[in-house]
Amino acid sequence: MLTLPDDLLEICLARLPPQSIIACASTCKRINDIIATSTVIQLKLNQLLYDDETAFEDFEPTRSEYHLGENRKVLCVHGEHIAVGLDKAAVRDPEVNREGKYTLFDLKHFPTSNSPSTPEAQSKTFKVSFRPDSLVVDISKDLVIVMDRSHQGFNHLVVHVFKVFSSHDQPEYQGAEIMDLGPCFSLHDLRYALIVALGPKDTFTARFGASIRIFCWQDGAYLHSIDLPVEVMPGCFLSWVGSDLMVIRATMEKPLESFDFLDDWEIMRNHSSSFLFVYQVKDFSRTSAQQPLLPALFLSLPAQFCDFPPHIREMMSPDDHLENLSDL
Amino acid sequence: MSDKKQQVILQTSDDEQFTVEKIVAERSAMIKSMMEDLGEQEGQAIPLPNVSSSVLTKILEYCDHHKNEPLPAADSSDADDSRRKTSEIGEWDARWIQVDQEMLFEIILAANYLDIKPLLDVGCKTVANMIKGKTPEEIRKLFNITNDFTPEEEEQIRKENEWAEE
Repeated sequence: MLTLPDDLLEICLARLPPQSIIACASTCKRINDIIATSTVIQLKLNQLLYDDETAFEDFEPTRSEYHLGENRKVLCVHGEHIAVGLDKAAVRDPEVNREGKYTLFDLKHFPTSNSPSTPEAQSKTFKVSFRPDSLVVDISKDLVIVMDRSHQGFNHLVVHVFKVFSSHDQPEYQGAEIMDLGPCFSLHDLRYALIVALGPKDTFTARFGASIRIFCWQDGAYLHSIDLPVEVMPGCFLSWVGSDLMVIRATMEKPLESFDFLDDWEIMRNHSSSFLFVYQVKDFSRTSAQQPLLPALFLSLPAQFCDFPPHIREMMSPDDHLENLSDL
Repeated sequence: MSDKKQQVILQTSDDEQFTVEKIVAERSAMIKSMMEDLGEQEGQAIPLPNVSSSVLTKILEYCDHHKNEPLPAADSSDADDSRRKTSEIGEWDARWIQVDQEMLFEIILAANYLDIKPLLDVGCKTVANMIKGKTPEEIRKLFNITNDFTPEEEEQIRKENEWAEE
């Protein structure tokens, strides 16, 4: 079977039921890689957990940022570790210590009572010697990515990658990629503040205003683009829910004319101008210059009005409302 | 059918020439496209450098059997969807593809190269049917796959896949 090239192996594997795909993933590294990187196969495996009809039933909005006051918030929690760092505004206006370094975040270790080590909180502070623009921390992936726009000019982004855990007190430097944002974003986009989120696998998602671009953080390669169907105000929220849903909260300035689904714009403007867009990875391949990608789910916040896709709307009773989303 | 205009010559990687009916050769979208490009140049063989004579003999048998069926549309993803979702293979096709593994994979490679979608479908379904219901160890044994995972990696994969074992 291994005489077949990867693309044909993928076709064979994609015809298997999920349990057999998983059995194949355990046979050897090459087949495991094909299964792990195939969108078609991953969607099939996801359908074992969520079929199309029930995918959104498990979608519960949760708030992942906890503000602690004094411009500090919880960036990431995993196991016994918590990363506490500066909030976005503070990251952009950081204080330099006497050594000329900028504080990124504190990694706090809270061993559980079952842990062999002492149950006292341990903490170490991560610092860098360049001025950070924004950062993302994923303790479970042992990954810190720090964006730097201070040295290479307005339309360049330096992506510094660190490991969270190392034998040293400081994060282990993995290298940097210098990315030219010019081909991916317009000068208009670059006026907005950069918002970054870690995406599935080796990707990160960068957003300037309504323009969202997905890159590989390992080599800076540009992978995909999504443009929100509206002009938006600065100060928005972007997050990945699992590996297949991208959630964006935005405050609109005005809708673009080409998007028919915003027919009820006048109604929406009277109630709220803050919206939640949910995109599904499986829809990404459908986008083109002629047909921009529409969100799978589109909510206004607070939810006095919402516009669900028809198949979701049919599942809802007329009494359903979404007030519990209003504190997002 | 003896009209030369209704025939085409195919030349395999081992320099063997096959004279076949156009209607048979046209099951291959690749050959059909080459015939259109070549026009009516009589006697000119179409080279198939990626297909051996033994594999082409087998594939021509398939194409001959299915020659009167409608050709799949260029973009047949939707139309074929229901067929592709099932693992069922037609009775004649199932008997025809009872070959050794080496020939099976040669047929799949050739079907892909020659762009014969229904044949590629039959080949891939056959491989899938061989795998279904087997454990990783049984799959390795069947296809002579070497387990190149470390014990730690195997344990990690086992943990990742626990959710699917219900």
